[in-house]
Amino acid sequence: MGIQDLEIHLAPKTVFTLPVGSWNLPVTNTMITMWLVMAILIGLALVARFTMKYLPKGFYNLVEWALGGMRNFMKEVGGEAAQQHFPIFITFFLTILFSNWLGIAMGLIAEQLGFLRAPTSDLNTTAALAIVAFLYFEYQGMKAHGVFGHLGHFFNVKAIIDKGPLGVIDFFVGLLHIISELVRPVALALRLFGNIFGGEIVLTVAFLIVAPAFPLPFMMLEFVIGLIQAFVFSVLFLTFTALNTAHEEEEGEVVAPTKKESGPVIHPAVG
Amino acid sequence: MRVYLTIIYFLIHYYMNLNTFAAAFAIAMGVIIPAFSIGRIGAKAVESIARQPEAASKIQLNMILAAAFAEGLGIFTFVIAILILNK
Repeated sequence: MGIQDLEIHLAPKTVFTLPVGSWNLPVTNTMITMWLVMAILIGLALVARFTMKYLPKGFYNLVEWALGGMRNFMKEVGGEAAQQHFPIFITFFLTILFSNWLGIAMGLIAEQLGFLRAPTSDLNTTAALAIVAFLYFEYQGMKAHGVFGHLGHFFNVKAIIDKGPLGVIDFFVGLLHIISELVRPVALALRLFGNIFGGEIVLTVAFLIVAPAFPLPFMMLEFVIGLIQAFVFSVLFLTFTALNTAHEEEEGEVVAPTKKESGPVIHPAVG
Repeated sequence: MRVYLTIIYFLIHYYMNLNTFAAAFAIAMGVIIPAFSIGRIGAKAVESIARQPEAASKIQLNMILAAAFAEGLGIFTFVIAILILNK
């Protein structure tokens, strides 16, 4: 197979169809890889659960160290209030990370056989992840401000009532917020999909040109990109959740002390 | 001038699919401009870390997020290029 025969398929290949009632459910190669990722994650979680001890040792110690590190990192990003979102945050991170890395490890065989492909290189998977994230941070916004309070950010009728004619500006700013809110899941899905899919194409082309040595640097790059994209997706999800749940009055209080702390650090000569 | 334009037109018409040209142009733009912006983000972040090394972790986090936003726009053109080619 040479570079001339290269065909790039946006849609994943259907391996077999599963009859569910009167309806045939197509099972694609990305779905099979996703099941593999799920099996690995659930297996690791069960192993960690059943080796749980008061004094951590071995594998369980590693898991505890990693999760503790992520928790501390979350505290830095989202503050103390973000702690309640830890389960869904770490789920997004681990799922995307394992999908990306498994896709690279399997991708070498994958492009020839069309059997295994990174789940995140399929727009369906990333769109599903982004929709779940979108629903979650909208739900959290409604939980923090109430349904009408949250929708009031977008249809700002309150500003018109309070300020009169000047409130019309606030009303239109609210309408612009709708667009920025709706673009978030689309951007999340397309960013993840484009990065991983582009990486797979680059790897395939590199393999078709010179097989053993040429793809190695690209593979290293793809491993780093897989980590960064998992990180970016989950951190953006956390940021959007924190933005939706933040109260305007409290925000000023949170910002003020950090400014005071960093004030004396800046040298007058430098700053 | 007109002669050159005619020659270019015939070259494109006979040797190149216009779809290919559109996809190549889209991906070129989508690589050049985010490259500049990501370079600028990285340069500014390094500058501010050198000025204030204590804030390194916060600056790095924001740098990665900003770079992801800049790169996401480039990824849009990549998706569009793939869609044009797959038509």
